[in-house]
Parts: sequence; C-alpha cells; structure tokens
Amino acid sequence: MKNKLDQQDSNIANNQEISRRNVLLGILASVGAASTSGCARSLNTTIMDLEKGSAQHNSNHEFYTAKEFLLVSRLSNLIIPDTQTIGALAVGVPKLMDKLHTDWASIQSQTAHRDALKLVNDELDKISGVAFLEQNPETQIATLSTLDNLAFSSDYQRLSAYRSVKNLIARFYYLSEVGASQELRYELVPGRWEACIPFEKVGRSWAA
Amino acid sequence: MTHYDAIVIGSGMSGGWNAKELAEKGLKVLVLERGQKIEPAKDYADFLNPWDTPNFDKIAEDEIKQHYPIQHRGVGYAVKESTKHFWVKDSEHPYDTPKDKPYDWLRGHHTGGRSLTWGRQSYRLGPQDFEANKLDGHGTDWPIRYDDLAPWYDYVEKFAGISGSHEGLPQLPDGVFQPAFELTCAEKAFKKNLESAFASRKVIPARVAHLTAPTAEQMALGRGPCQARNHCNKGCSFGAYFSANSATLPAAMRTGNCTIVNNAIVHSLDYDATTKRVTGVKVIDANSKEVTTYTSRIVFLNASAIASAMILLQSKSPTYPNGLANKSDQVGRNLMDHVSAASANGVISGFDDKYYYGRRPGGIYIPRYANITEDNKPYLRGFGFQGGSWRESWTGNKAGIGADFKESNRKPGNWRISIYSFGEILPNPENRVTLSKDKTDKWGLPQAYIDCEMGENEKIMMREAQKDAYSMLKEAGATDISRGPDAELDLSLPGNRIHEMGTARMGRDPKTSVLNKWCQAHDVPNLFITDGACMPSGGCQNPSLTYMALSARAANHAVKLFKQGII
Repeated sequence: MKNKLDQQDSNIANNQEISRRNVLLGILASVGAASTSGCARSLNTTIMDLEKGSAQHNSNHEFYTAKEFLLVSRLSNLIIPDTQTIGALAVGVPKLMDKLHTDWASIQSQTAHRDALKLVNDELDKISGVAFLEQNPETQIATLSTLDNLAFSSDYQRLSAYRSVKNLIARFYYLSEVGASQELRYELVPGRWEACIPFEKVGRSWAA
Repeated sequence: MTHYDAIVIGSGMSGGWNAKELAEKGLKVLVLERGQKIEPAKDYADFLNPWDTPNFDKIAEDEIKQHYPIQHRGVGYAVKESTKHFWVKDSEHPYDTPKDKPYDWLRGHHTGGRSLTWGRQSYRLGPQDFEANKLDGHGTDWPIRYDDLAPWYDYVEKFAGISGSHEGLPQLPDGVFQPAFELTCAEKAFKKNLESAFASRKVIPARVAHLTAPTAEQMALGRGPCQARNHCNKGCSFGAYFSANSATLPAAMRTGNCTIVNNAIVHSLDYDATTKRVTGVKVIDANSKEVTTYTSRIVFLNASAIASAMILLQSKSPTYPNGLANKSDQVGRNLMDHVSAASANGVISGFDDKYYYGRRPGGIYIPRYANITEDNKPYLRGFGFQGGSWRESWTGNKAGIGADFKESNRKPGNWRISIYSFGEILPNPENRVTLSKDKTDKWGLPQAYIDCEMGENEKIMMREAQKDAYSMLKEAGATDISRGPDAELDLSLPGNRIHEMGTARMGRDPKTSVLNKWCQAHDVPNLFITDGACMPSGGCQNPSLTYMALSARAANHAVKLFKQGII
C-alpha cells in the first residue's frame, strides 16, 4: 500500500498525462485535423508515447507490470476511445483497474486477472504474428477487432478472459463521472418517478 | 436510572413500535439495543455517486472471507464498503448449524436493526393466513383472525406510510395507502396480457413503505417524500422509507419518556416465582463487558426471532429450567422463513420509444392465487411473485470496439420483466434454534445452534411455481424467457429471505404455544414478544407490516393492563 503523499503524487502525474493528452486533442480538433487519417495516426502515436511514458512511471500502478499497464491502457483506449466525450483511458480506467487489483482482489483474483491479461496479449500477438503492443494504431484496431469478434462468436468459451477484461473496462468507464453523467445519464437525486415517458426526454441510457 | 415502567429489548421494526406506543401513552420506557448508535449524517451513504466509492464500493475479497462470509453470501447486493457497518461481522458473531443444513442468519446490530436495511415490501396477511394452520393441521391455530388485526393494520399503515393501490382482493386486503408508484408501460402490458390469460391471477403495483404523499404527522417527524433514488440499502437522509430510525424512535423520543441504551447485550431476564413476573433484564455492555440489571414492570422482547428465543432459553430458573416461558417446549421451535427459487425474466416488445425517469424502489406484485382462486394444487398454501421491469442498459458483454461500441451503449436495449417467488414455509417443530452446548461468543453467552431445512411442501411448491413463472411470462407475450418450466432450482437457504419467524408462537393452548392472543407469555403476564417469534405461521407475504400491527396492538393492551394495575 502506498502512503497518502505517494498517491497524491501519482494522481498529479496521471492528471498531467491526461491533461497533456487533452491539450493535444483540443489543438487537433480546433484545426479540424482530427478526422484526417494522417493526423489521427500522428495523434495515436503521440497517445501511445504518452501511454508508454505513463506505464514506465511505477507511481501510476502498483499491481500491474509496466507491460500489463500498457496493455490495459491500449485496450481501454481502443475499446472506449475519446469521441464527443473523453474515453476510458482519459477517465483513468487503467489506474482504477490497478487499484481494484491492489486493494480489493484476493491473490486468487489477482492471479486470474493476470492470467487473463496474458491470454489476451498472447492471442493478440498470435493474430497478426507481430507483438500487439508494437503494432501501429491501425493494425492494433484491426487485430483487436478480430479478437473481439472471435470472443463473441466461435471462440466464446476459450476467450472468456478477453470478455472479462472488456467488461471491467466498460464497467469502470460507465460508472465514472464522465461515463455516467456525460456519455450516459445519471441523477443522484431524481426526485420523482416517471414510469413511461418518450425516450427522447432522457435521450441516452441510464448509467445506474 | 435503572428502573422503568417498561423495557423494550431491541430497537428495530417491532421494538421501535413498542417504544413509540408505550412512551406516547405515558410510560417511562427503556430501549435496550445491543448494537451501535446510528447517526444519519455519519452513517448513511446515500449521497455517494457511483464514482465516489473506490472499487465499485466492494469490500476487499480477503475481508469478506475473514469477516463477512455469510452476510455477503446472503445479501451481497447490500453489504458494501460504505454500508458494512449495517451488518454484523460473522467473525465476531458466530453461530453453529449441522454441517448439511446451512442457515443464513443475516442481521445488523445497530439502532433501528433491520428496519434500516429491509426490503420495504408491505403486505397484509389475508383472512386465509390466520386460518391456514387450523385447516391443514400444520402448526397450531392462530388465536386471532384477520378482523382482530385489521384496525391495527390501518393504524400502523397510516403512521408508517405505505404506497399501494386499492385492488379489492380478499386474500391481500387493501389498506391505508399513499399513491402507488406507477407501473411502466411494459408492466401495464404484462398485466393486461397476464390477467387476460389467467382470470384468477392479478398483477398489482408493489406495496412499499415509501412516502409518496407524506402526511403532516410524517413531516413533523422530519420525513419527506421518496426521491426515487433506490439507494435504500444505504439509509435514507430524507426519511422517505419507514424505519425505526426515521419514524417510531423519533416519535418515542419526542415524548421525553424514552431512553435508548446502545451496546446493551441482554444476558437474561430475571424471573420472580412468587409474583410470576419478569422483574428485570441483565445486560452486558458490549465494550466494557460491565453487567447491569435494569428493572421494570413490563418487558417487551423484540430482539428478532432467533435472538429473542435465545434470550428466553438463557433465562433459566427453578420454575423454568428449560428457559423462561417455555413450559410448552415450543421456544426456539417452528423456525420459519420464506422460500424462493422459482423465477424467470423475458423480453416485452413494443415500447422501444419509451423510457422512465428515476429509480423506483418497488415494482410489481402477483398476489397469491394458489389454493385461493385456484385449487387442486399438489402442495399446501402458496406463494406470491415480486418483480419489475427495466430496459437493458450499457454492457461490456457485447461485440464491438471503438466509437461504434460506445455509440451502441448510448441507447438502451430491450424491455425486460422479471418475476421471482416468495413461498410460505410450513411450521415444523423440528426446525429450531437451541443454545450451543459447548460454544460461546466473546461475551460468554451460548452461541445459537440453528437446525433448519426446507421441507417437501416447499420443494414441490417451488417446482410448480417455476412452471407458473414460465407460463405467465409466455402467455403475457414475453420472449427470450430466461428459465424454462423445468429449470433446475436451488431453493433459497433457510434464513436467506430474512423473514425469520415462529420461535415463540402465539396460540390458544399454553401447552402448545408460548404466547396468547396479545403476544403475552401465557405464564408470565408482564412479558410480551412481538417480533417474528410470535408468528404461528408466515403466510407468503413479507411479514414486517404484520409485526408492526401486532406490536401496536400488544403495546396498547399492555398499557391497559398497566394502568389497571394488573401488570
């Protein structure tokens, strides 16, 4: 367990990474460049650099190895990317997953999660024959799409590990403040019950 | 001060009512609560957003294994990091069972007891429930009938605040209701189709102890309308659902006649063979272990069915060598709960353009029909179904990545409706709690030994209920039904429904029952027991409302006897 000061330092470092990233996004969006593939590649490369930098900071993770943290970061960003709202990486899902496995998980659950990540990594590496984390962003999307399709169809049993990681990323994202109250809808105190209203009055799924 | 007019042991669902009634009638009342004090500002967690609690508010797995294995197994949905102080640590409050008969004793030790964490479903027993034991011979006859209790149901409903609809069903009598929570469009369609297919069955809004139109009396206690948060497991700062904490104890305290002592573990009741009265209550301080004896003219035992029976069994004297008020040998026997297993859910189509706002704290209820509006069932008594509908929401468990995946979670999925059963358990004297012969707790008191199992009637009933659950969903037009008519069933463990009852039953004959029709011990006239222990049978309805009505009725009778100098 870290002491409180370490955690604060870690949060500052993490926030700085996110902040740098959002500045980049903001600059690209402001010049209308984010939709071009070249700039998207450039942005993704930059994001990957940031992820790698983040992964090398041990203060950002206690449970994960640098490689695991990088993998979780890539998966988070590819599965739930920034769109009109920031995505899973930007809200800090990898850090939250690290904390879950540091503070909550038993040794058995920690081992199971580590095994799941290894299986996911191995499967991703196998699909294209090149290490997933070394692939360029476009290839990574294609590789992960292939794995995702298999995990929900022909390889459902064998790839349950992938689904467990994906579920965890989604759960942390949609129950984060951004995920729940900006990407979806959440009211702490609704104040009333309306049983049957036009969907448009809410507009999006309730997060909880 | 150690002498009072009345002592109430337990501050929960029924104890709170006795404290209120006795104090409002002018008696000086002491409430003994074995657990900690509850302070809403500190102890309630109802203003936390999902992202405010690390790790999804889950208690660390190693901590669960060490301290909460039973509580978490039984009510994992409610035992969270932010609410674990509402539940006992199993490691500190052990009990024993036969190896092949696990029992879920799910409880919290704090002011308000389970009234703080209950499910709030509030249904009256019907006339049939007071006659069932006599008709089929299981258990002993209730010493009262529905009409005896009806005015007291009115009385407690008016004060507690029950939202519900008037349906005119004889088996589930209407009460004093505040407006019901409206059914969703999917539930209305389900109701229409089901009632069309099964003329003998009804779908009604759940009756729940939530204020939807608070009265001046309720607001004077600081209670307000339900905010549709459905965070009830975390406490309610609005006092919108009934609890001893929000309603009865504040009412008792404002009289100036009530004192609550926390951390007061009852060791035993003192009995005077000459006067044939309980004279005092011996208490161990949970922290200091200091022993104090409080005296009073009346004692109400409301520690919950198992704990109340244990206190009686611990209170041995030459007159009652097997435990106080136990000449019948029925103390600790006939332990009941409700049984669940049958359930199913399915998709209701046609409302993709509809949604809801808020989180309703109740859903639908299908009142009992078996052996009432339908007969020739291969089991005795019956069951009701609770349930509700919702739209499927976001999930990580579907194919897709990237912006498309994110977009797909913005729109809710199918409407689903779910129903799950609550069946009656027959009273059985072999289902019982006794004192462990060789195990004690950290205060030196005997541990409970709970020997209880489901019977054949419960198994057959749930098997048939599963068939009914499937057929009702199917006939009501549901598709993608989750469990078929012959689905394998795991009956809920005894205790798991948290409706323990029967361990000091009322009855007409002192030879076969512990209490008379006023919940007054046959042989000890100043001892009353109005928690679940007093129930001769359980019906299939959630029982708390009946405990409330029996408590108010018994307390008012006790005050009459007190003022007449009889007790």
